[in-house]
Amino acid sequence: MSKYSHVVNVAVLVGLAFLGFQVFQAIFQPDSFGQYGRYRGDHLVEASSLSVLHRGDDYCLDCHDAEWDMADAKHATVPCENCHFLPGPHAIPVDKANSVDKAKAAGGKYVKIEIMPIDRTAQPCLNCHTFLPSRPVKFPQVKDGAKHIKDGWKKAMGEVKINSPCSRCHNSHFPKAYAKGVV
Amino acid sequence: MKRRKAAKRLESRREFIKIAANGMAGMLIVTLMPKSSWAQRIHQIEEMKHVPDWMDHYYAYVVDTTKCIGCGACVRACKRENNTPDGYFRTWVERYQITDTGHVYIDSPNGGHESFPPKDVEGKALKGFFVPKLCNHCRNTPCTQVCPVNASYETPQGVVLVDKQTCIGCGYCVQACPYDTRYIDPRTHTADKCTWCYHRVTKGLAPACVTVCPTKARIFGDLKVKNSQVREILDSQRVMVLKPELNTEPYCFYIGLDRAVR
Ligand code: HEC
Ligand code: HEC
Ligand code: HEC
Ligand code: HEC
Repeated sequence: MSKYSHVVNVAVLVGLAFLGFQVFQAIFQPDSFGQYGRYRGDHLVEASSLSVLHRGDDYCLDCHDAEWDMADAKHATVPCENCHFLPGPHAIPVDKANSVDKAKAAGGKYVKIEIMPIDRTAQPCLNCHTFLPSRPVKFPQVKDGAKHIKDGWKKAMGEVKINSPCSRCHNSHFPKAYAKGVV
Repeated sequence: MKRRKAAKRLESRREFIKIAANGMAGMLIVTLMPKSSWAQRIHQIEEMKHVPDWMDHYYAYVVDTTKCIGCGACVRACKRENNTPDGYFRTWVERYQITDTGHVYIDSPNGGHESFPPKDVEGKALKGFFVPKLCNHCRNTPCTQVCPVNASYETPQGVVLVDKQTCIGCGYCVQACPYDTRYIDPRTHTADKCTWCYHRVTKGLAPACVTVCPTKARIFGDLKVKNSQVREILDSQRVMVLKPELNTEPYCFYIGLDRAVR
């Protein structure tokens, strides 16, 4: 019995635990762990490579600036994707399409490959313009849709049904420009 | 001989007390020292250098509650962009109504996904406002600290992420978050939260909620860029964070917060 056997025992145990941990780590720790910090470095790349669905107004305006030159319109700040949303692209350059003559090209440069949905109901308008006491006071709001339409109708020459959508009188893009016949 | 020894002990005790007193004074000074100011923090951020170029940003988010109209566009956009399960939200909008009876009505029907139906309140509504909420991307993150498997972490750009591959779904982080921004995704059984649309911001785009906001109530930007909008706001306007008393150091700032906001 050596004088130091107790020390040796402990040292062996600690050494074994250390080795065991190294083996455990080698098997279970992902390769990129610790690349940037105490996490899996590859996840940064994975998280940044998901696909982008909302493209923003600049993307739309690349092709549509004629319809939407609205620097002075009241809806200038309202992004297109509130009323038109499509997860994928809806038009591609003409030279990339295989059946050019069948497709209708806008300005001859692009062909539509998928229809961009247009929400013509009152719902998008009401989401933003229904009167709510929590909304900023200065924001234009409609207290009573039916009454608003009736009043608008009084000003209008044409016939407007009470349940007609807002776009019957308002141009969705230029809401101050009312439809023909409406003052 | 004996006396000398006693004297030495006395001396050493005096020494000990001296050292202890000095140490205590030092600790007191450290605790009383003012925390680093925002200007110092910004300076530190500017000095930081992250190696791959696409990482060399430091993001911040500003919510201007005075502009929010509660239309829910951000909630819908976030759901589409990140495909979050029904009934779980990475961002949501809360409606506050404060009446003359002293009541504070707070609601968020379906997170504000379908905007807000008019709500009857007792008494006359004195003031009301909307408060959009999202992950605050704190620097003293309570949520990442409790993660047992390092699945949740802070990126060098100041975004807090969850690695779904590593996450074991224990839910500690969901409980630790004081802002209730985390949930366990019922499809994958892992923790999920707002990423500031990491896949968008690393491509130079704004998060989806910022992109669709019609009143510019949500603002996102890079603190390392001197003339970015967030820098301008943080430098020149009165901003607040949610639950400052918790000292979580959020990087999501609010303009026009009311004391009723929780
Ligand atoms: C407030 C909702 C709203 C917003 C915001 C909006 N639109 Fe529209 N858009 C509509 C509606 C409604 C129609 C259908 C109008 C009609 O049929 O009279 C439409 C029609 C269109 C059309 C088809 C026009 C035609 O003659 O067929 C284009 C192109 C268009 N929008 C582009 C855009 C672009 C680009 C943006 C963003 C810069 C945008 N829209 C923003 C509601 C909106
Ligand atoms: C690459 C060019 C391009 C881009 C980008 C683009 N569009 Fe179009 N868009 C077109 C073409 C081409 C048409 C078809 C025009 C026609 O048929 O006369 C079209 C038609 C439309 C229409 C009418 C409905 C339809 O599908 O015929 C709407 C609404 C519309 N676009 C909205 C948008 C919005 C909103 C965006 C942004 C998210 C956008 N577009 C981006 C090229 C583009
Ligand atoms: C995503 C939110 C949003 C949607 C959807 C929306 N609007 Fe607006 N609307 C706004 C904003 C923001 C303004 C500008 C308010 C301001 O100038 O303070 C505005 C302004 C207006 C104005 C001008 C008010 C004035 O004082 O001149 C009218 C009218 C209007 N909208 C009607 C509509 C109609 C009709 C629709 C549905 C087709 C609609 N809006 C959809 C956000 C929206
Ligand atoms: C029958 C035509 C008509 C219809 C339908 C209509 N409006 Fe209007 N709207 C008007 C007219 C006219 C005005 C200008 C009011 C005025 O000058 O007094 C107006 C003004 C507005 C304003 C500005 C109010 C303000 O305080 O500045 C908003 C917002 C608005 N409408 C939203 C809507 C919404 C949302 C709908 C759909 C529910 C809608 N409108 C449907 C005719 C109409």
